[in-house]
Amino acid sequence: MNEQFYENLSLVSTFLIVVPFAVTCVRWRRLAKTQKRLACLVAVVAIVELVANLLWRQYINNHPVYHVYSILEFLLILSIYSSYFDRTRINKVFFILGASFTLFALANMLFWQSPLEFNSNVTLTSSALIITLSLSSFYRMLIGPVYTTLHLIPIFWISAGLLLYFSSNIVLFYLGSRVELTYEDSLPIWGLHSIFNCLLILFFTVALWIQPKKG
Amino acid sequence: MDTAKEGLAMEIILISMSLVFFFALAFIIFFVVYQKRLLKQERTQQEKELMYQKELLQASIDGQEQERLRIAKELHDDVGTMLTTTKIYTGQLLNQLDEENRIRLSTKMNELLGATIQSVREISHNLRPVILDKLGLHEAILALVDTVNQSGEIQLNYTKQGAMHCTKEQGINVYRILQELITNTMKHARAKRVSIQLLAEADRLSIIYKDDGIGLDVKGTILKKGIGMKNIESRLSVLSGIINYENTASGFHAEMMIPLQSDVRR
Repeated sequence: MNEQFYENLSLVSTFLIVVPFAVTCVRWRRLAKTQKRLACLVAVVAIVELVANLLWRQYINNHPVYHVYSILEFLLILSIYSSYFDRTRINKVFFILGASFTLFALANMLFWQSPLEFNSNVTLTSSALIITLSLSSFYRMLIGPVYTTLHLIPIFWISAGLLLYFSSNIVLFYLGSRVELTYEDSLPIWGLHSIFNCLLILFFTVALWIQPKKG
Repeated sequence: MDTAKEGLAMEIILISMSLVFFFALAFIIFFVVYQKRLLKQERTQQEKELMYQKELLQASIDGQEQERLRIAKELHDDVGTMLTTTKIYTGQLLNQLDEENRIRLSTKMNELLGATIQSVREISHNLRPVILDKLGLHEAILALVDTVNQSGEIQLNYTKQGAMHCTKEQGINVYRILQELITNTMKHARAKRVSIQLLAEADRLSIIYKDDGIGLDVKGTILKKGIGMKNIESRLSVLSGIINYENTASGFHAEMMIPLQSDVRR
């Protein structure tokens, strides 16, 4: 497969965020609490992708955008799970987790990986934490009351999308930070990453599209 | 890094990513399948419970109907017949001027009216034993035991330990359960002796019922479909109690446990 194919794949993956964004605009008033928080994440992703693309096309390093995005993304995902778990004690843990992660990301930016470098430390940590959150939500769904309509539970789609995306990308972020590859050799890897990204966005779209039902 | 090594590294990353992705996918599929299985089990359980509740309700309705039928029959056959006969005698009495016949008819009428009063008392007693309301469950059971023993069909032995502190509603339900068990024994068990043990504690009442008959068919119709047994279960469910049946070579054996807290939910 040639370079053009991977570039097109990357473009599709980048601009596919328009779909859940459009769904958000259409269904905003009917969205549940968890869905509204996901919509905020989608909006942030859309803005970040737009800015990063513009910078990239101007040949300006866009890593600083991703440094800020990593923090925003984690905090928004944390807020989605906080609305799902909805318990005072867990929310306290989430608050401490969010504050610690933010401090760690800022420290990483100041002392270890400058804003002009890829922030693999933060990305890896955030991926591991998000996978844990996703698995925790599956565990809660399992021990809680049996859902008659699992496909109408937004958190199911959100957790499934996040688990699929971050579990495969944690490998990419871990190995990618340890092996130096040429641009041509890394194309298939980023192509696969784009496919997983498309999948995540589709899962987000479904999570925003459905009308949640209790039980 | 040379080209071959870079190619190998790229392949390793791709394969690792794909493997982890499929592992995560398998986890999600397993979760969905497991949820569906749980849902199916829960629905089956709900259906079973619903069916059981329906059976209990039907048994309760059937029990009521049988009771009405029995009362109607007793009123028609006993009280009705006796009153009709008394009316005929009254008519004859008006036409009879003979002193000897008048005395004979008066005596008969007096006997019939006495029998009618006794019949009405028995019907009333069967509907709600007065002794239960006046003297409590223990005395009511003693009276029931006496009545059954007087019939000579079977020999009942009743013992009680501890002081009973149950409400009137609990009392009537326990009384009816024992009545039902005794009736079952008399109808089906071909037993000679029955033993009833009551153990009253502060928070519970345990009842052990044993007979020396042929035993009841646990898997058969008597326990599964019998109105009597369904009535017992229905009353126990009202009392939040439990029952365990056992069929031994030496007869039928039932153990019941009824909580006696005042805040038992109905």
